[in-house]
Amino acid sequence: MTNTYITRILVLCLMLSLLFGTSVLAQDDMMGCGATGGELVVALNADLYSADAQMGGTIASVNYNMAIADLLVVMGAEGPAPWLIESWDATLDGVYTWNIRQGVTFHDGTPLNAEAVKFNIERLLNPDNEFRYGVYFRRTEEINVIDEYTLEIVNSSFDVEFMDRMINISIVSPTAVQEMGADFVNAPVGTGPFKFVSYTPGERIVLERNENYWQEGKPCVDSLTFRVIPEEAVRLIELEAGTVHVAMDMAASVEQARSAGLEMITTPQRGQQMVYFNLSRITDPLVRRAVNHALNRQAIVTNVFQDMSIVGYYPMPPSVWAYDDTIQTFPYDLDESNRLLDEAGWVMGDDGIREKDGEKLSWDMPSSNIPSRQQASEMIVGMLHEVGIQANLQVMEHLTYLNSVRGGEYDIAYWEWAGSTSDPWAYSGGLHSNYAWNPTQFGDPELDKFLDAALVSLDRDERKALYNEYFTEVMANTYLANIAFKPAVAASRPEVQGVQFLGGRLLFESTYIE
Amino acid sequence: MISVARAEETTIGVRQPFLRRMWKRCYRNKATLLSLIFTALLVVVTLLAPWIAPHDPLDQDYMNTSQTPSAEHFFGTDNLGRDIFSRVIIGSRISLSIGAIAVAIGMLFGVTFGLVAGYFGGVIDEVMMRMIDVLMAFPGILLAILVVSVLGSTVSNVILALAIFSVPTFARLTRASVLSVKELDYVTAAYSIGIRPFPLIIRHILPNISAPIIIYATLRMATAILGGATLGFLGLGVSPPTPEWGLMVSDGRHFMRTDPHIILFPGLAIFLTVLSLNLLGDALRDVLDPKGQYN
Amino acid sequence: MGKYILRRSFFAIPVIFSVVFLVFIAMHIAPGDPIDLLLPPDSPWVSDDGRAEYEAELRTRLGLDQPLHIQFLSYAGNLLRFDFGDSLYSKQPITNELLPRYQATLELTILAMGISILIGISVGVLSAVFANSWLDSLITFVALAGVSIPSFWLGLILMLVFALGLGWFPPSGRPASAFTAEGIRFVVLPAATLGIASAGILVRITRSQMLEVLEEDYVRTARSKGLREARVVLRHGLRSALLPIVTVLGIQFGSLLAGAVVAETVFAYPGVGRYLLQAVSNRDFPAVQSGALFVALTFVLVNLLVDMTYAFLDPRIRYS
Repeated sequence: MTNTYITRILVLCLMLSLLFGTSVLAQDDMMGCGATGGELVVALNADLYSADAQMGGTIASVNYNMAIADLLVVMGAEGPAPWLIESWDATLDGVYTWNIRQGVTFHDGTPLNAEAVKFNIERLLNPDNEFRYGVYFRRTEEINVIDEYTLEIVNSSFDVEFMDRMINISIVSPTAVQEMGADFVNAPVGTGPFKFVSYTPGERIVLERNENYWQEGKPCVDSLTFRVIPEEAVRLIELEAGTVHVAMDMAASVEQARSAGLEMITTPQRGQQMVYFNLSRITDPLVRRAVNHALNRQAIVTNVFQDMSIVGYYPMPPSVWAYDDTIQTFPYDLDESNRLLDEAGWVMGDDGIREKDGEKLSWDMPSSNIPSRQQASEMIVGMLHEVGIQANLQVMEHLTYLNSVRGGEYDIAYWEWAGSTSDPWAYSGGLHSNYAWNPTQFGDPELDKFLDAALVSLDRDERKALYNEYFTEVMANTYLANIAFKPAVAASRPEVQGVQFLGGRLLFESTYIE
Repeated sequence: MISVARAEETTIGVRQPFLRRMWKRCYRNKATLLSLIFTALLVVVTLLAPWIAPHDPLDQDYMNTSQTPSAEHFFGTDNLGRDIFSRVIIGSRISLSIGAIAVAIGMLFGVTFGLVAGYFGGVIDEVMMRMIDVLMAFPGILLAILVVSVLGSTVSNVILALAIFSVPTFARLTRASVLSVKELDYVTAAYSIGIRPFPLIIRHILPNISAPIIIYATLRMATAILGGATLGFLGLGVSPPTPEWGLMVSDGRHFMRTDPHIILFPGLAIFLTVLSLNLLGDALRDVLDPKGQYN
Repeated sequence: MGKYILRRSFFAIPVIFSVVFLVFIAMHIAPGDPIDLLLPPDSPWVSDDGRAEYEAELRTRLGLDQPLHIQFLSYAGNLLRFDFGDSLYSKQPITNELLPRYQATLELTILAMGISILIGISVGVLSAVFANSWLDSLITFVALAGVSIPSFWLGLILMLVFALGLGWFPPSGRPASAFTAEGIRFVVLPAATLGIASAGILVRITRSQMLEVLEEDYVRTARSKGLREARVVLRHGLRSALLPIVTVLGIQFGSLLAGAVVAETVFAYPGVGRYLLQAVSNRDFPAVQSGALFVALTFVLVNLLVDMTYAFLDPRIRYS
């Protein structure tokens, strides 16, 4: 069968890509505990949705999930890397074979095997549970246990997105779920480096060392306590006071934290910061190009993200392998911006706002009330004002903002996304006519083709070429304005070592207190 | 009875020598004088704001962010390089109107409610106070959060939210005062000689309960301005880049360690305004207090 | 009195019903859709068409596709059976989530109230007794300062000074109940933050009421009878001044309970205010509704207590 042949090639490709992932892990493994014992306290920026690690939720939740229940795969530098799934391969038919790591047991002694993973996926898919990650398995038709440690997932079709999504899936003990039923949430059991002790909603989660963790000698500390501290300024004070060892989401306090002798821990810059145009309203490419030239990207990077971000002119982060530096850039150039607007027929009015046919160049701009987004939006309003564009900023609750942007009830909007994957498929920019997320209200079947083809290919060169063609076209029409890419930023006390970021989430198994 | 005469004197006594009494008080009490001057200054600044402000309050200058006060920028610049002095000056319009309008609306409805309920009593009281209870049953700031969530964060919606949450307290306070005044001899006497409810309320009851209402209104105006700031802190206030004082303080909190001046000046503006409003309220209380003339 | 309490309790029912109804309507007409948070956070990029299907299924399951009045009736029906529903996010019964937070907020509010009464009334009386002295001016100024500082800012400053600088108290959190040896240290700063503004208000009200009362004939009489000044002030003065103070106290309790949301956010204190705020912004309908219901019940109860105290303190007010 030709399929087998293809599969072999694919496996080869995957092995190559896995090599890199494995090397990331090998590096992690080499990090021994410089000291053992102690009670580690970590500040989260939000409460968990649930202590059940399969519930998922915000990044704060995933930090907890990873401590108590291991993930199927983790995000490596170039796509998913092995974790509980030690290796895998896939066919273009959508058949995935997972080799489950051996010698792993849950905190209650239940061994981890293919059956346990199958149980977990079925639990996610059970509509009664209303687990949000169930949506990732919508195209799964069969889950077959091949042998003790091999699981086969049969999807209706193949795409690169599926395995990438598995970086969100935590595995919990089937025995505990079956025995405890609805009470499982009060005493969750996973395979993670830490065991559950207690959860006080909105306040703290206390975990203790898992003596039988599958990574020998880990974790280093005796206990791990997550505290919920929503205010960034307060997380900083707690760090300085020494009552918290590590705090997540410290991007606005970099300067203050450094001057207080704290250490900053960052990821590669993969979080996206960009401007969406509603393409059904802002139809003139000259105007969009003018906006691209009017944005002082460096100023936003410096002022909102304290120089932790890097400027980027198209939606692909430089740390993603499909990045290409030949795609057109739009340097900050007010003269060029003004010239383009003049050329488009928008004449500067007496009040500093441009006009055309008696109509003002005035746009609706919704913004989320999350501080960094609000601030970046404020700056963009100021920059547009410089070239005679009036943006009417309307700050709203995050969900309301999501609704407006998704529904196309805006002219221009600043958008931010944490970038929890390192595969290029996620950076396509909301322009695909069939995607659930199409805030630009745009559709071009010719452009869609590039994305569709890139999603079902495993050939990196081919995919990179497809994305290049796609973005060359997108940026030639300036369908959007990219601003920068940001990292996730955490801060730790100087005596704390070995705090790691794994794909934007914090990992504490190798963390120790000197 | 003597109380009737006293009541008559009271109402007349309030109107006539108000300005003279106020002047006398200012003469005696320097704090009152200062607060009067500050309030007058504030009104002037509010009216002339666009001509006083040296810079455009929205102009961002990334080369000059977080500058400490200088000759060019009296209050320094904020994290986006905007001139804080200009923002505070222009912001006086927004903050004062938020405080004043919200309290005026809240007072209008609240006092009317309280007067009617307290005076007529019985079923009317019961029904009206249950309506107030519904409003009271929401914690103020959460009520404001709901209003802003539903309607959006514009200046007028923030005013509306703060006004709604002023209504019940005014109503209850008024009702309580009316209840204690109503039992006074001169009111029962006035009632017994057939004075109609409306004039009775306006002429005899209202002046006698105005002291606590005025005190409360001044405090409430402070609360409203602070409430606006709190909504901003919770992410539900006036939309930036509006130079509203409360918003400036709540946005500036992220820089309170490294650049305290960003939050100092708008904070000071709120504090001084609230302080002078309160001192003025005190003075008005002493001057308006009907019993005061017997001191 | 018993009959009065019964009657007032009966009237509380329509109040509570209106609150439930208003909150329900407000939450459902507010823009924003909880489904956005019920799907994976990065779901915008899901290329799978299955998302729409999944979304529709979820909506049906949660009853969010029903007409509003049907949704309300089923919610109200469940309430009558004391079923407060499950949070859309955690899938846990609301009561499980709410009760611990409710307890936390009550503890915080009561302590803040205690601080505020202690400071407010004693300093207020002092201020009235020494009216127009330098002490009075100082008190007035400090009281006003307390009232005029945004509480989130005050909270951060207190934290900087007393937690980071002096190390007297832990910066934030609530590892145990406030009424335990471990927990009391954690509640001091939030309670102070919350109580200071209220204390300022009480100082002013107490002062002005006391000034009024101290001029009354019967107080003068008491004085002229040669009673000790302290006895005059406290027995005759304060008792009469208490009536309006109690009204203000009732109102203050309300604003403390509401203001707690700020102290809770700053001090990472797991209270009902922060829970409600989070629920509102997540559009977690059952959580907002039940949270508001709990708070509303408390308010109604407090108002009832205030009215009863009121009737008790001022026998002139007779209730039919």
